Amino acid sequence: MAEDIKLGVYLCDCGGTLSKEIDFPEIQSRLEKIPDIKHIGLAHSLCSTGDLERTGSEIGEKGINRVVIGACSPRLYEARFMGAMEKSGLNPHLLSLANIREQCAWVHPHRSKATQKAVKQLEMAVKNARFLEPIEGEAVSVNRDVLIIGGGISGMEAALALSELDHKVTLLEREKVLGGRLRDLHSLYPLEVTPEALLTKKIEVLNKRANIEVMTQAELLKVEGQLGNFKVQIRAGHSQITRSFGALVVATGCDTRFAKEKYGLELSDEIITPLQLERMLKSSEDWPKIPQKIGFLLDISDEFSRISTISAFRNGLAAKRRFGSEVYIFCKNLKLDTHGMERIYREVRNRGVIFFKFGEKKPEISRANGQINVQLEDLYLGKERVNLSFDLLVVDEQVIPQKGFENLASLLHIALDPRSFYQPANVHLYPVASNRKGIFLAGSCRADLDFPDTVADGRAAAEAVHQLLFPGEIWVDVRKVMVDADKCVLCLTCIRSCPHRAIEVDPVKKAAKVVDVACQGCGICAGECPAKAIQLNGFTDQEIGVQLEFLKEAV
Amino acid sequence: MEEKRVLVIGGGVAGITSALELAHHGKRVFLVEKEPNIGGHAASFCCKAAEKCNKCSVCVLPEKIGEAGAHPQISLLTASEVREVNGEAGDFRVKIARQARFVDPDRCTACGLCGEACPLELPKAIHPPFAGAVPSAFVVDRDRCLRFQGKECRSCQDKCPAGAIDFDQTSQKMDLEVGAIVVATGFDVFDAREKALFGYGKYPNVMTGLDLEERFLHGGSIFLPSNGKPPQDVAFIQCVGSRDEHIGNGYCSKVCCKYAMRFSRLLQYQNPEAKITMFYMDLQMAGKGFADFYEQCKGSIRFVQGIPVEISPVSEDRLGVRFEDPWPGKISEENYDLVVLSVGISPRKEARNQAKILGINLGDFGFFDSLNPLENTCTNIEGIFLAGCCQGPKDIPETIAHSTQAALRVIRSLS
Repeated sequence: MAEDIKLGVYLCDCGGTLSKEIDFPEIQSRLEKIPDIKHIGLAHSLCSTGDLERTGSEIGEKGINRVVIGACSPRLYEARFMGAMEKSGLNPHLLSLANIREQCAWVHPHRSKATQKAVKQLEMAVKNARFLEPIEGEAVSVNRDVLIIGGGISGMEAALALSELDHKVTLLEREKVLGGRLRDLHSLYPLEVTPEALLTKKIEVLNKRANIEVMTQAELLKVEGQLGNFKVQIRAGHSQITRSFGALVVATGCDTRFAKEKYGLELSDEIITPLQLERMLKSSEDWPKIPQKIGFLLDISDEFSRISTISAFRNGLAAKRRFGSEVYIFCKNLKLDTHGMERIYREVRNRGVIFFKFGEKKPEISRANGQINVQLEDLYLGKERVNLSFDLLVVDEQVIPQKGFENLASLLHIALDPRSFYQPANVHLYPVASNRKGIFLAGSCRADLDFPDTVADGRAAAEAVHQLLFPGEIWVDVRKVMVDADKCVLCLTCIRSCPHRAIEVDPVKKAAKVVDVACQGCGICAGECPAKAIQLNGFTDQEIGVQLEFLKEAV
Repeated sequence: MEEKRVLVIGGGVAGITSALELAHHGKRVFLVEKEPNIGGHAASFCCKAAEKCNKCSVCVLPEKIGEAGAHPQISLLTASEVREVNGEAGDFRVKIARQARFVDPDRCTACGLCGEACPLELPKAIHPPFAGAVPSAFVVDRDRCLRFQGKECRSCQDKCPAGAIDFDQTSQKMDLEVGAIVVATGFDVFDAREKALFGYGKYPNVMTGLDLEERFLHGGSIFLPSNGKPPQDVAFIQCVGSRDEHIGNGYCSKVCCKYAMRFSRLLQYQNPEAKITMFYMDLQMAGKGFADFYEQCKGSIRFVQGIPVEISPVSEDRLGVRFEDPWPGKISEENYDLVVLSVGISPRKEARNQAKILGINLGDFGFFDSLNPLENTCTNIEGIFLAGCCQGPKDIPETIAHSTQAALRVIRSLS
């Protein structure tokens, strides 16, 4: 390295709270002996605006070119420290952080030993800092067009929101018409608007927008490229089209399944699914037999489904209104954790729907004389068994991923959760982002959502897409990962192991090549590469090596 | 107005999220918070990781707080309240009252010299706010500071090298012109004393979920207030202040089942011997990943479907809990050394007044009313939007999603 290393070490005692466990003056005197350390600073709250500004200006004044910080977990304020370095004109990647709070002060009761460990941690960080190299950024221009896969309510909502935000949208639907599961519903209770009215209005607006193109009976054939420039092959009807998009939104929805194995019985004319009942209630044809008594069973196919609760409420009330039937709902736990559901539950009860709650013992279901018999022990009635006969029994269904989810997941290289729904990048912060930059998730393809939340999710995905694409270019760190073309034998291990599809083959160098736009710097490729041809900047073998070597001697 | 300015009222998770979204879109944002620091309730919540992360999402906050504090497009108006709103969408005129805080957040560098100068024993009357607080300016504890006890003292003011301390400061008025308003005023934690039969405030070993949050945050573990020992027999009582028409809270607070289960995991992680019983009405365990979490809890937590009626002390350290055991269906009384009341989310007491100032409608239980369930960030007034728990109970991820959506609506309304 041509330039001289000038290290600045900053320690933080977290508002004085760490000085009980760690002897900071002792650390300071030990570090002072290390050559190249030009400055050691002690702060009470390095994360505070004041301390950050002071640190930043010191870095500039003293010409410090490598920073070591001994403070809390990097997960908390690393970004803030990096921001302060950037402001001072130093590349923010020239930072090495030692976690002396969570990994030292908070877990070691002996002050002298904790102090020793903190010194070792800091010395390791110093070793690491000497090898740090700057990572530069560059602007990459992106295509602002968006492809939405799935023409259900969340996909339509995303399309509408994006078109309002001035993006060109292509909406892909597998079926002949838009609407998805919404087309089967007879009501959206407690909403007043009917599904038909809502759909008609949405489709009308969609068709009017010049920047939305709807493709029905369409499917995705191939997806290449990455954020800002996805090359997509689509089959729409009989024609094949290739297009470029800046981002993709997956809004394929969910499916439901009757869990026969949990019920131990078959569906019949008297035992039907909620969807069958929805369709029957929706059609204006006369029913062959008016059901006098209807029972709804919940929490057997799926104990965790939100939508089965509201569908039982909705269908129960509709049947009551239409036929004057007696309606009973059997459940284990009522799922009322969506907006206004407690109120709705009370209304349903006030209108005469009767509820029974069973515990771990499932109700027994039997057939006799064309009727369905349900026997159970109720929570509040205790040992006295409830025994009721029904003309019609509506069983609950499991919420399962949409047909073809495996195919789509492998086409897009997006991750699935343990229940095979699409896995958000972060369920709290980025619920609509997938593991791949530029591919977003919306609606019930990612989680069990009720109707208003599904609508909201489509808009949220649109917002996330817009935020990424609206400037027309994005700023990316380059050379987060370095490939040594001489060592690379093109075994393709890295390409197979990269969850972000960020590695391609460079046809000129005949070696793996990292696509900076897609790379998230996770380091899996560097770990997997059998030829050690890949190094992760900031975590190179050399950097880790010197730290381990030091640790070996120290222990 | 040359630039589109937005007022965000409330500096909790919801307000911060909306402000950041708007700022990312290049809007100029004024974030008004009545407390001296932004962060809201979630800043007093603890990490609930046991052997692994239990996904309580509290950890998402510090980064957001820091980002909001540092963002050049966001102006923080802390210790401030909105007093008057006039005008209409695109052109609101807002009057804001800024309380005297005695330490100028723009000047204070959090060096700590003032604390050293304070003549009082610990805790000092001038101290840093919580770790990582934004702004990081020190706060004056009026209950302890000699100046507020009628005595003369200028120790800290004289010592401050930045000239940031000024005890002559008085409250100020400020006028703002904005194009749109996001209301993100949050919620009150239900006051468990309203359920008198549970004896909160009377029996030391009856705590609330919020007490647990604060104790875990500051101490890392829980000890019984009566004898300082770790709890062995713990009861969680759900729906305290939720789903209860008698006290006017006829809604599910959405968060309590999940936080109670997370706390249970945490307590048992720290003390594997601890026995935990959860009394509940209906478990709200829908939601991504929660089904699996519940399955894990089933083996270690005893679930009883029924809410106890009364808690009474049986000895200094033990509490008797009276409840109906549904299977076999009889009244029982069991003894516990710690009872945790899973308190829910209540609307802000000031909500009625705020609604009047803003001209927006108040809904069923005292939360702000949204236009309709499909436009749940819009209000009856064009240009005023709702974000987070002021519209109804939400957990942190939901609050983030809702506030993001509110920001999107603002952007649309301004364009």
